[in-house]
Parts: sequence; structure tokens; C-alpha cells
Amino acid sequence: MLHGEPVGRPSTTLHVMGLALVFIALGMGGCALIELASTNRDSGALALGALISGSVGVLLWWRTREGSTRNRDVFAAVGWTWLTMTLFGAVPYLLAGTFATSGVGFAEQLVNSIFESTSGFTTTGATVLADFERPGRGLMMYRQLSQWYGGMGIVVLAVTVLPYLGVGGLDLISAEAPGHSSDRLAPRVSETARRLWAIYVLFTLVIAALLFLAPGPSLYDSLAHALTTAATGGFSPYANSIGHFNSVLVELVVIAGMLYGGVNFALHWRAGRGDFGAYLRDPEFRTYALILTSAAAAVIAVLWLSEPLGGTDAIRAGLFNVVSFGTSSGFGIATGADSPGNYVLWAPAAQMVILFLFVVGACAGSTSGGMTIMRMRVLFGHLIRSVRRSQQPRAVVAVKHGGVAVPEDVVSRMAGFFLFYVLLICTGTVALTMLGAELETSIGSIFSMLGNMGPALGEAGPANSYADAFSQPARLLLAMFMLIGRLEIFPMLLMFAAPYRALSDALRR
Amino acid sequence: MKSPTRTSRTRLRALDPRRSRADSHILLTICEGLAGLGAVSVLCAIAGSLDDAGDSVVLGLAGVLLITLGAVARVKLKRRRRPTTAAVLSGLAATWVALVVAATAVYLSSGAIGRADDALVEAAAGFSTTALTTLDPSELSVPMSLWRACTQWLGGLVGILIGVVALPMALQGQRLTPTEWSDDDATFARGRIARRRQVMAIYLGLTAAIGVAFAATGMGAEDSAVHALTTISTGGFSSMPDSFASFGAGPAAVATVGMIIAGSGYAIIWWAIRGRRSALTQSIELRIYGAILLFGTLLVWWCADGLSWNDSLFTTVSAASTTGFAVADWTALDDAVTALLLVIIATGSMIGSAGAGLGVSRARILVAFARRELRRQLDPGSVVVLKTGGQAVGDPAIERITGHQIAHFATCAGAAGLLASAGVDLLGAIYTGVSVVSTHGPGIGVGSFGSLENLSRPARLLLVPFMSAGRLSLVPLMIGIVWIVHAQQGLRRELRALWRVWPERLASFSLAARRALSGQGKK
Repeated sequence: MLHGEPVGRPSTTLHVMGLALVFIALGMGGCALIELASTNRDSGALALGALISGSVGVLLWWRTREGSTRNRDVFAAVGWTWLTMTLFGAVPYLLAGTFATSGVGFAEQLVNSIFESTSGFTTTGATVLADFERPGRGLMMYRQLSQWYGGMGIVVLAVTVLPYLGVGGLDLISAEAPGHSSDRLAPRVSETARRLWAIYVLFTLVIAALLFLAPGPSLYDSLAHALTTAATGGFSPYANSIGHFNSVLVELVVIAGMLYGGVNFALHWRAGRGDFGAYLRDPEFRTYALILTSAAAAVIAVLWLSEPLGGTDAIRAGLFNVVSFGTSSGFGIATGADSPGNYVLWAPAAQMVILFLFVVGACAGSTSGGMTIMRMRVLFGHLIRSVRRSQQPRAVVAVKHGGVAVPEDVVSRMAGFFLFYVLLICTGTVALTMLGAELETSIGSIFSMLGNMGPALGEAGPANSYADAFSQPARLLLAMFMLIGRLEIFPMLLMFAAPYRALSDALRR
Repeated sequence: MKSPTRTSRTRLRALDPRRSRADSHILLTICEGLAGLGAVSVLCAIAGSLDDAGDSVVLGLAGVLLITLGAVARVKLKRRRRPTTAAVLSGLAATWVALVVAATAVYLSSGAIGRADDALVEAAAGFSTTALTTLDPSELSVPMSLWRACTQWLGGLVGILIGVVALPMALQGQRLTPTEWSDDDATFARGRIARRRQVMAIYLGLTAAIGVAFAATGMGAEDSAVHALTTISTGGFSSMPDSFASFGAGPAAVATVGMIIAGSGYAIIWWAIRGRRSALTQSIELRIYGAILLFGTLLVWWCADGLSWNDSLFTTVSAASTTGFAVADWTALDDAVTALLLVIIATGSMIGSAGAGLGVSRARILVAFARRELRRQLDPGSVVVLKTGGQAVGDPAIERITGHQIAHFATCAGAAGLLASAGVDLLGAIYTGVSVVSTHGPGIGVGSFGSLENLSRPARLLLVPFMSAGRLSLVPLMIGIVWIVHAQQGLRRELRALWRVWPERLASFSLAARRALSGQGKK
């Protein structure tokens, strides 16, 4: 054995979970230092959170070893890791009393902490935070960092240090990565994961540098926003998000960062090796560019014609919001409820474009959420094929993507995904309205959570807090939908399969 | 006497007037449809002649004109023994368009509606069995009120004939949606004409039965006839502006039963008539339909403020059968009730009924497919067979159903997007988009009880293609579109090729002409 005698119980789930918790603890520890050096209000909460997560993580990692990497174990590993991660991630918020305002009980604080943590790790960007001045700078940086971890995926990070997982590691990456894309960037899976993270880190640093060079953001602001821009997350330490800086240059840098984050990272890797034509050759990228351009043009035209906005305001508000939602980031430039950047006040046609972007999302293999453009293309091909085959039953028609036939099992899986997506939208909307939310707010929020967008429609718009729009159970339901959306449905639905099988085997014995 | 040679036989056949008729399936279908509208127009004119002579004359003249057109078409045109799938589906779509145009002309010439766009929307709502209206029905004369209800009755009949007769036969053995009765030869007559007669007999019989039941509850003759025609067709037009809120509990109870029957597949009705109890009890589609009605009613009753249990049942049945009758203002319902009803409307009624929507059977197969995909995620090599009515559902059928599902939601999204662009608020656009594609009608976005008074004129016109898409079923409509696109592409290819080679073609044509003139043509 290369790594010595195996110790501990074989369990891929617990092993990956332990490693993920260690990484989170390191992040919390780093943010505790920032807190200590700045506001020093929540350093104790962050340090204690790091201690709890780190201890449990080390214990799990030390007492277990890699086990089976069958499909059910892969789904269990990813699903349970994410669930555990969001729960442990909520500890600093809870210990710091981030949501402890007058009249708010422990249960509500717990729900809010879980919601905020889930929104962070899933890169959703929806928030229940009402007072942005209350948390310290370290805790706010931890909030930003949670999105950065979630952007590329904590399991992908774990795979970088689990070289012995082999093929199973690729399955883990596929189960966690957005979209149907598990392009190998290197022969070894761990090397693939390392390269993905290398691009991600470099990309984050470049955005941070550009933001720092722009007038307005401090070093702290630049780093905080770079973390969530690269992750297409949308969290900001300020209530007005990017609108806080009121700077066109900052907005342009963030737009460029969001656009870059919405593209398949395999294309970035090829471009980094000198093959810049890879972008234009990729059909998904071309569709991505086409959708964003058309959506921006449509929204700007609607704003210009129907809203009392000047040309510059219409272009600025339209372009930023389209890119923000087209890449599932969720940043806003609204400086208040009546601001031109508050899309909830726009004409219905412009809001409908935003809702369409909620569904579509960006490219597969990027840090963005949504259904992804690749899936939309394949589903459209499937629709055309079914019509043609109804007309000519014996015709052999393949669904193609970029000139290559898509395997039937992949088409079938995507059709199944779409079906689950529709089922979740229906059940989620009905459930939220039954829990007391308004219908428009419910529809918008379910689309937003499944696409990991952040702000939604109605009372959950960019100038509102989810705490005001939804009851406690509704917020927990939304947190579950964020996880389902981030892991693209199947891992969250199948995470119980392995424990169920293990339990039934144990009972049979 | 010498027997005629082969050549002379061909000449004789050509001289036969019956065989010299032009061959056109599509034109004949259109004219038959118009003749059907003519027949009901004449009947409405006769029935309402004592109430309003002017409207009766207009309807009578229109009826005679349309019947004459149908008769001439029967003499001049013939139908091929087996028309192509595309021809059948294009014929159905063209007939629907022709009926809407003819009905628009009748509305305008009778003066019931003053504007052409309003008349078009009213006609489209009628033939698509959507409960949306641009007029005050209480102001209509008896013949026009009956005729308006008849447009929905014809629309419902066309919908059933598409599902039960035209599509199964046009698709030549393929099953667009596998149902429990698809392979049951004992359910329906085998020939097209016999099956059509069978369905029409059931449809007529049920209409009469519901009409008698309405009359027995104390409803007037006109109201009974109007509501019977629009109940069995899942249409939802009423003679009163506030639908069944104007009537008592008795008519509402009859309408509830009528809507349940109308939303059931015709196979179910046939089994019930024939007393095939085992087929009924084993029907999973019927059980699911029943469960939707039961649990939907319970949830609506639980969530809604001010709705009694029988009003909750009425509302749920109206949504599930995509009829659109109302006992309460659909726009004033609680948010949770609205959301629930929207899901029920989108699911729709049973396959082979007059109702529309996704279809219970399709929804069931899609859920089974989703479970199969979930299982395949765990074990990609596993073989899981989906079944309906004891028969395995093949991959081509699943492919068609998933394709239909994508088309259905894309159409709803398209409708919502266009309505929003016409100024309808976001929620109203989404609700109306789903509701119109399911041919339901009333709800948020449009006025109370299906009145289109709140909608702008462009928005009303935008509803027309989506009502037709809901009524004619999406995949056939798309086959028609693909056929038109292919035909157009083929024509363009031919023109391009002709453009490239026209000098050679011209030369060869002139050579052939010269040869023919000099008597050297090919033998």
C-alpha cells in the first residue's frame, strides 16, 4: 500500500466530509484573524466555529478511510458533505448572534443562520441579514469565503488531496460540478481538480487586483467582492451590494468577472494554454453569448421605452442585471427600493427576461447555476427529434451538441432532470404559498433558489430581506431548494440511497 | 364483345365523373368542418327564430352557405384512401382556422360583436373550448347565445376526434401517448368512420342527458341547452357574466358531475356504458384522476377562506377538466389555492377527453420515467420497463412524451413572455399563459369569471395562437410546422437548383419541345 496500512473504517462519505470540514475550519480560522485585526467583534465566534468544525473534521478524516465509490456512495458523499458543511457553516453566525435582534428567539436565529450559511455555500446569495453593520469584518469575510468555497465546490477541493480515489474522484467532481461536464483536464483526477482550483484562484486574484485598481473599493472590499464574483455568488458586505460603490468602473470589472465565471472552466484552461479559439468553437459559449446579448438588448430597450430612465441609466441597470442573473450571480446595483437598479419595479416584459435567465443559467462546468445552456440545447434538440420521429417513425435522428451525437443515456438523464425541475417548481411554489408567502414571491423564489440566483421577485426582490418575505419553515424549505439547485437535484435526492441500503443490509443480517 | 384493353380501361376510368374529382384531403376536411358549423347554425336559427328574427336570418343564411360549400366539396373533391400523417394534421389545423374565421364573420355580420379583433378572440375561445370572453353573454339573443355555445361544443368534438380517431390513425400504429385503451380493440370501433360515429353518438347522448338534468333542476330551456353544450365540451361559456354564481346549488351539482364526465377519457365513458366494471376498477388513469379531484378538493377547501366544500369540489373539477366554470371569482382566491389550481390546470384532464392540458396519463408516465431516471443514476446498467395498461411503454413513446412535455412548458413560457411584453403583469402573464395553453380560461391576469375586459387588445389577440395550440395538441401542431418548414426548404432547394442549372434546363426543355413538335418524342 502506497500510503501505508489503511486505518479506520472505510467510508468515502465520512472521509470526504471530514476533509471538507477541515477546509472550512481553516477558512474560519483565517477570518478570525482578520476579525481580530479589524473590528474584533466576532473573532471568538469564528475561532470557536473553527475549533468545532476542525475537531470534527480531523476526527472523521482520521478515523475513516476511503471506501467504495459506487454511484450511490458518490451521491451520499456529496449530498451528506454539503448538508453537514452548511450546518457547521452556520455555527459562527449563531455564536456571534448575527441575527439576535430584539424579539428574535433562538429558533429563528438558528433558521436564519442555516439559511445564510446555505445561501453562502451554494453561491445563491439570498440573505436574511437586515443589519449589515452589525457583523464584524472577519465574519463578513467568512460569509464571502463560504461562497468562494461553494463556487468551485468543496468536494472538488477535497479530491485535490485524495489522489487515491481515481475514477470515483471524477464521479465526485461530476456529481458536484454544475452542468453535465466532467472534462478531464489531466490524466489524473486529482490533477484535474488541482488545475480547476488553480484557474479559480488565479481568476479571483486578477479580479481582486482590478477592483483594487478601480476608484472606490479598499483592499478588503476588493478581496471580498472578488471571492463572490469568481464564485458567481452575489454576496456583498454592503446592503446595496455593488451599488454601494456607485462606480461604473467597478461595475464593469464585476460584469467581466461574472461573464468569465459563467464560462466552462475547461475552456479557460485551453485558452490559458494559448488556444483562444476554443471559446468561439464551443457551441455552448456561442449560445451563452447570444442569450446574454439578446437579453441585455431586450431589457435595455424595454427600460428605455417604458421606464422614465435616461439612456445611460437604462444601459447601466439593464446590462448589469442581465449579466448578474445570466451568470446566476445575483449582485445588485439598486441603492434603494426606488432605484433604477431594482428590477422588481421594471415593466413586466423586462422582469420576464430576468425570470427566463433564472431558469437558463450559464455554461456547464462553470461556477454558475441554473439549468445550464448545454442542457437547454440538448433538450431543444430532443424536442425537435421527437417531432421529426412522430412524422417519420423509422428515421434515425441523433441529438447533437457541437456536431457530436449526444449519447442516449445522457439525453434521457437530461429529460429526467428537466422533469424533476418542473416537479420541484410546482411542489415548491404550492408549499411556499401554503406556508403563507405571496404567489409571485413564491414562484420567483423557487426559480431563484433552484438556479442559485439570490434575489427573486415580489417581496424577495433585491431591496428586500428573505426574513420579511417568508416564515421560518418557508426559509428552511428554501434552504433545501438551494442545496437541491446547487447539486443539480440528483445527489440530494439520492443521498439517502447508500444509508438506506446499509441499514437494510444490517437489519437483514 | 371484346374486353377493353388496359389503355382503354384507363381512359374510361378518367371519363368517370366520380373518379375525376380533384384529390384533396385538406380542402375536403375544411369543407366538412364548415358544413358541420353550417348545420348547427341552421339549428340555432330555427331554435331561436321566435326570440330574434334578425340574428336567426344571419345564422340561417350563414348555415345554408356553409352547408352548400360542404356539399359542393363532396361532389368536386375526394379523399385519398390513406392520407399522409402530415396531411391529416395539417387538415385538422386548417379546419380549425377556417372555423374560427367563419365564426368571426358570423359574429360581425350579426352585430353581436362590433370589432373584428374581439370577434376573432371570441371565435377562437369558442372553438378552443377556453372560457374567456370579450362580450356580456346576458345581452346576447337566444339564437346567438346557443350558437356561441355550439362553437364550444364543436371545438370539444374536434378535440375528442383528434385524440380518439384522427391521431391514432394518422400516426399509423404509433401511439402518441400510450393509454390503457390504446391496444384495446374492444373499446372502440376499428374503422375511422365507425369510430367517429361511435364517439359522436356518445357525445350527443351525454349532451342531451346533461341538458335534461339541468332542466330538471329548474334551469330555463335556453340556459340548460347552453350549459349542456359547454359542459360536455369542457368549454366553460355561460349565458351569464358571472357563470354559475348566478345559479343555485342544483345546477352547480349537475355541472360538477357533467365536468367530471367530460374530463374523463372516452374509453372510460364507453366502459361505463358497456358495464365493463373490471376495466374501470383497473384503470390507473381513472384512479389518478379521482385522486386529483379528491385531494385537490380537500386542499382547496382547507386553504380557501369562504369556499364551502361543494364550491371547492366545483372549482377543483372545473380546473381538472379545464372547463373554466366558476362559482367564485377566480381572481379573488387565496394565493395557495391559486397555486394549487394552476398545477391542476396544467396537469389537465384524461387523455381522449374533451379537456386539454398535459394529460393525466402523460403526467403519470412522466413521473414513472422520472423514477426510472433516478434509479438509473444509482445503477446505470439497470433495465427498468415502464408499463401502462399492462403493456410496456417503449422508448419511442417515452421520447414523444418527454418531447411533448418540453413543448408544453415551452409554449406556456412563450405565452407568458408574450403576454408580459403586451403589458400584462408578471404573475398574470404566467397564470394566463399556463391557463390558456390548457384551454381553461379564468384567473389572475384576465378579468373575473373569464371576462377579458382587463386585458389590452394586443394581449387578447396574442391569446389566439396559444388557445389553438392547447386545443389541437402540441406535437401534431409542431409536426404541421415542421412539415411546412420542410416544404418551404424543399421549395427553396428546388429554386436554388433551378437558378444554378436553368440554362441547361432551358436547353433540354427546348430540345424536348422541338422533338415533340417534329414527332420524335420518346416512346
